[in-house]
Amino acid sequence: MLFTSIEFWGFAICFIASYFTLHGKARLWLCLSGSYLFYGYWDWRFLGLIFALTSVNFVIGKLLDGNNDRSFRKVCLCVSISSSLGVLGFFKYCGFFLESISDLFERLGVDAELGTLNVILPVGISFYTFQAMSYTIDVYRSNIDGERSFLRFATYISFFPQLVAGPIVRASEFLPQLREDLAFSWANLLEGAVLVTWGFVLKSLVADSIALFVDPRFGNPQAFGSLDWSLTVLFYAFQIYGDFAGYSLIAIGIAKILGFDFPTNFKLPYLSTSFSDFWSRWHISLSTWLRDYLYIPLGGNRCGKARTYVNLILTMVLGGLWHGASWNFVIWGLIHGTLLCLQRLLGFSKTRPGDGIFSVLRCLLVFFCVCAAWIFFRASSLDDALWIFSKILSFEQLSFADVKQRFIAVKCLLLVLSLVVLELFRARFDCWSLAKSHPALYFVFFLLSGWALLLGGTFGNDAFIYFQF
Amino acid sequence: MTGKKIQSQAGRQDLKSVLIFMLGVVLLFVGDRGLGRMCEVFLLSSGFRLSKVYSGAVRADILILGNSRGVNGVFTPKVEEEVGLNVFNMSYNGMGIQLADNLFQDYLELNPSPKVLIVEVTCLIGDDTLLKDLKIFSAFSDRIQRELQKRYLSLYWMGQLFSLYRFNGEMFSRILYYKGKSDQDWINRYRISQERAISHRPSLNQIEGFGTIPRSQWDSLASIIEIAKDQGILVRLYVSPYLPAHVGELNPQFPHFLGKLHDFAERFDVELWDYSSAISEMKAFADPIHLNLDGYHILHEILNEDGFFDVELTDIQRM
Repeated sequence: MLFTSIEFWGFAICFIASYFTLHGKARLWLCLSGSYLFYGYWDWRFLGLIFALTSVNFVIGKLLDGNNDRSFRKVCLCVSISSSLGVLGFFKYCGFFLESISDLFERLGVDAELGTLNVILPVGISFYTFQAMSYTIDVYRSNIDGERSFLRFATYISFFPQLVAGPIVRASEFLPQLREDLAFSWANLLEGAVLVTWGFVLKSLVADSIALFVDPRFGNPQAFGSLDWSLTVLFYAFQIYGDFAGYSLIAIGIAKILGFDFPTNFKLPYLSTSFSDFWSRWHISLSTWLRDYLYIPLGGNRCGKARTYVNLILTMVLGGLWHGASWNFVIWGLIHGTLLCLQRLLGFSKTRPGDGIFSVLRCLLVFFCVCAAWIFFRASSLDDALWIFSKILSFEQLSFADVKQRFIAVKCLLLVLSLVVLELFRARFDCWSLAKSHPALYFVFFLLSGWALLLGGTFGNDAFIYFQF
Repeated sequence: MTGKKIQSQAGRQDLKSVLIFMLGVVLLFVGDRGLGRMCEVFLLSSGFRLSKVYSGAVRADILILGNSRGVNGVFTPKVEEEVGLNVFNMSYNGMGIQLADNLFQDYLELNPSPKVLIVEVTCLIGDDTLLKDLKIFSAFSDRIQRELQKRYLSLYWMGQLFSLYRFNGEMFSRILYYKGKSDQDWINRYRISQERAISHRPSLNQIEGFGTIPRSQWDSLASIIEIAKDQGILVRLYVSPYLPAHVGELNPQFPHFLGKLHDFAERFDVELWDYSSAISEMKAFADPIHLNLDGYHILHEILNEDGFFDVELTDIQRM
């Protein structure tokens, strides 16, 4: 059930209508059964997995809560983390590690038949395991109390709007909201509808339209020239942004309609003026997760310069690996880790007020580096990524006449330019307060978005990119 | 404030919100229809090939029908310049033979008949996914509407519900781009890279495509020929060049396809002009299955020598 499918909206409308007619436990049961129905629609076989993961973390949360025995608490935490990481490791990384070890032995001339493992990756596994882990760690750290209601905890883990592609919502943010009986409000409906609509614009108008240009190129890299590839990389940066930010906005918007406040996942990331700034604006729920549960426990920047660099690189490499079991993601993480280290080394931190043209140049530099790293993220193999780099740097076929699918290229350029203008506008003005003081702007927004989607949206495309993670 | 007052205020707020929502929906539809009408005006006044067909503005002696190989297999300005006849290339990327049949019939209904019809017959291979893009002309063609209804029902209904949705697609960009100019000089202008040309091998799908043409596709070609003959139009079946590696020894199905074409041409008493292996120079190709402009210039010399366009002197006189 994709957010862009008719089935989903049939389900969502029925769900929302029933949600506001029920209260207390009945409402929670509806949320849980609706979420399991949503997840089971992808593949019912994995319902057992999510239920088991929920049960383990719930029990461990209960055991941790109020128990002061340090060693017992540590054992509990280890059991919880190893079960979550074990599930993630088996479904997501087992095949990759076996393949890599096999390759390594082959290169060393050792004949080791390790076999292959064809395991189907459960949708959204990386998101809900991280969500479950954050809960147990928070209880262990006594940042939150253990949840007493299994029903509420299961709803927190499986809540359908953010189940398969985030944002990764912390228990401290969401569980208290689940304890309240939130009432219907027109203001929430309006705000949620704005977020959902903007999410659709980013997904169907921007990301899916750009996919028509980008996907064939990554499928057959050798067939395209330098300018073609430069445009492809530029467009891909906006495709993945539109796709992922679009999904997040739809998820946050649906939650808002139901009365919940979810954290923002993207804050104009391509307007970042440093690499650390970029990571405070891109996939915020993951980057803050990695910061709080990986980087800081590793020592963060408290153990000297060399250790800080190691921690940064390790965090980003693991963050890369979180996206998928492939060396390309490892390299992508390594590039970002290295850029963060270089930034620290060169004192290239956030822009100071009054930097003017320098902040624009820094913004462009950050954007180009991020785009270069996206090549590794998107290419099917390391060889393909290196080929794309060499093709771009060959400066052959630089005329627009050499670009294939020129009409789609022009559409993509117009979309990217429009998006940049709109993002700059959003950076300059507070759109929410602007709309509150001029309610007619809501009308303008909905009508223009609706017509733009009808005229330029690309429908019937594949799933969201982040579903595969 | 009493409870009743608060309740009635909340009720009024609900009613107001519902009314505003309904007004929004009405405005969405009204705007959709208005903008859709504007797009239609653009569509009919464009120099885009299919716009010209549906505005009834084509006056052609020679009509070309086919897919992207037809687009790149006859460069209209060059033929017009050298032969002195009006030539109209109605080929379009991804056009299958069934769609070509429908468009040809629409053409004949709205425009004067051509004297010669050249069909680039490799459009027998492949499906009619272009039909989705042709929803833009569904308001002008009952045939397209029927086909959409038959094959893409949800798309058809979306087009009925929202006028703007019909204009969603690459074709509308082309319509806007060719406003006030002709698109008949559309041809690939880039070259295949040497490494790609050397390493090219036809894919299994491409090979099988030549061997698995459904009966209905042949029937559509037969239908085009019969309709053309009824109107006194001379029909020529044409196969434009492929990169040799694509149809050479590595493609065992291609000779079989050519053999079937020969039999078909004989049965319907039409000429088959096969240039599939006429050019071997790599620089003549944009990719393994399409010529580029340089390639067309080379081909044109060969076509001229063979009398492919000598219709004015021979065939038309015969009629």
